[in-house]
Amino acid sequence: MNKQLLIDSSKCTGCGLCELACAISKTRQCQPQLARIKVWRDETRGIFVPMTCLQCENPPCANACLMNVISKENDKGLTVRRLEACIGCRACQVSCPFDASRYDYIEDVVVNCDHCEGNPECVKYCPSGALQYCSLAEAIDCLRNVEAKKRCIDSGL
Amino acid sequence: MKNIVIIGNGAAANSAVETIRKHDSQVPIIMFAREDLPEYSACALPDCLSGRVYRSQLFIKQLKDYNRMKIHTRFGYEVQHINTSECTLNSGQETIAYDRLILATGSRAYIPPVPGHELPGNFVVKTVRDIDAIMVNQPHKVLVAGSGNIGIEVAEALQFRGCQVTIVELRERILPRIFDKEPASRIHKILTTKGLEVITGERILRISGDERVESAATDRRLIPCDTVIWAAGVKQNVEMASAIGIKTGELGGIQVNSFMQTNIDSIYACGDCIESMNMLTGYPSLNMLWPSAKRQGQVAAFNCLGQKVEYEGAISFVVEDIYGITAVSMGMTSDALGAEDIQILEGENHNQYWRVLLVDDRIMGMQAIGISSGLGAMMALMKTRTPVSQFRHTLADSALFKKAAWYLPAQRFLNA
Repeated sequence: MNKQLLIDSSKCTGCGLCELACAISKTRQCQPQLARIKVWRDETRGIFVPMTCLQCENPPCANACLMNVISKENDKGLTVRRLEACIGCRACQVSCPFDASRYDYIEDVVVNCDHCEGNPECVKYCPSGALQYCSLAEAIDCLRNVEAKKRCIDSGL
Repeated sequence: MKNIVIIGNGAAANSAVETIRKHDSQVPIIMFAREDLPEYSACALPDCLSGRVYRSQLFIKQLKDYNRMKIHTRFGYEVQHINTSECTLNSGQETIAYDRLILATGSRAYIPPVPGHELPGNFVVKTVRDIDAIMVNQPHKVLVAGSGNIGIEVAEALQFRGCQVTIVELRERILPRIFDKEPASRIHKILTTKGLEVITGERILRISGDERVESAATDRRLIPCDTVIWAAGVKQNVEMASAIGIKTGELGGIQVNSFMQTNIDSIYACGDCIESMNMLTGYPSLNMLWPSAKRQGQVAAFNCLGQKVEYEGAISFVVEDIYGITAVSMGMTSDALGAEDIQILEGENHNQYWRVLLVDDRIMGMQAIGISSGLGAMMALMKTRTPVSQFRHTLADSALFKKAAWYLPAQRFLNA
């Protein structure tokens, strides 16, 4: 069963640990702007939304790429890049509706989340459980539990 | 068994064969192309000229990839004649029957009929061979005629190589088709501070020289140069199509319906050689850009295989890297929108500048300099035709907003 990176933005506190963990593990730099995940913050209302590559089925970035670097990996459903051919033109970054492609100025390439080969660093560090890496069945179980709990509380059980 | 013949080997043609192979691993595909090279990225040619990308890096496929995909290639051959009633085509060497024919003949660079344009030292930048020819010529003092995106990129690339470059533009401002006056003047300023000479509003009258290019005369001055690079636009290759009775439109491209079908049964067309529908206005437009060609190739391939897929329309989308500053134009410009009542939202912040064009509460175009994040959300809002009032309403309501969090990156561009 394929695992997916699930984001529950209602649990996110905007601490930014995921960004740091990602940047350090991927680039050895302590710079959140190099991270493949980014938390969009609306501080005044307390809304925090972690955004990363959603591995679209028909990715607009792949269509925009001038070098045909981006493709879908068939077995895992990931959007992968042949970075050795990337010329850093940023067309994919601009075409992503979720702003999930990140420009790595050190290597002059544009990168996206690759789930860290099945062991995402951001999930390990997320203190609030906003990021989870689980299969779809597990995710549905989780949702069911949450819904059940809510109904129990609503009905005073 | 169907036999699919594709004429062309550019972005549209290759996207079409990839789509066909993904969904049908058996159907015989025959590809004709004038150039005997595998697929390469035409958009990266200026980067190759500057030396930042190696020539070998340009190639997206190798010749052996075509064998692996079981495509019969006829590279270096031109199709001489197509018989539409018998569904056969002749390449001078052989006659091939087709069940479906995809025309992806593309476009060629346009050189205006200026006296002296055939002298050695005149070049265009459209194919790898053009790049090779420019490299052999070893330019020092270059005149770039035209300031479209290719013109600007080539000028920057040659300056990077150490050439002295002058850009001459016929219209009153640079990048006239993709940027409005204000952003264009900002880009103009960037170019001149980096040492490019930019001349606007002047027409090149003649190129002179005894054996090769020595100077170019405009209506106001004489510019000494050893190389002229024409970046004055492109023309569609539609001669073969019109010879067999395929209709072409007023703009000069092949007319297709939204299934990429031409007026002749079982002939499809995609890529630079067609007129596509503008996604925002619904009118036919020439949208000769890489992403549109790829999508059109996909649509043509699906319909060839018998699966009805409709093309949603083309949208202009250009990303320019100008001395490390990202300049983006998407959708339409004020000029293209014409007399319509345009509301303009402008903003700037240090080195960043953006301009959003709204018509009837909907985003019709956006131009940005120095910004690369958040534009994808704007593009999505533009494509979905989301009214800006609805966007603002969603953002103001916390509960709604959490469900449409991807709106947030676009927020700063749409604050009234």
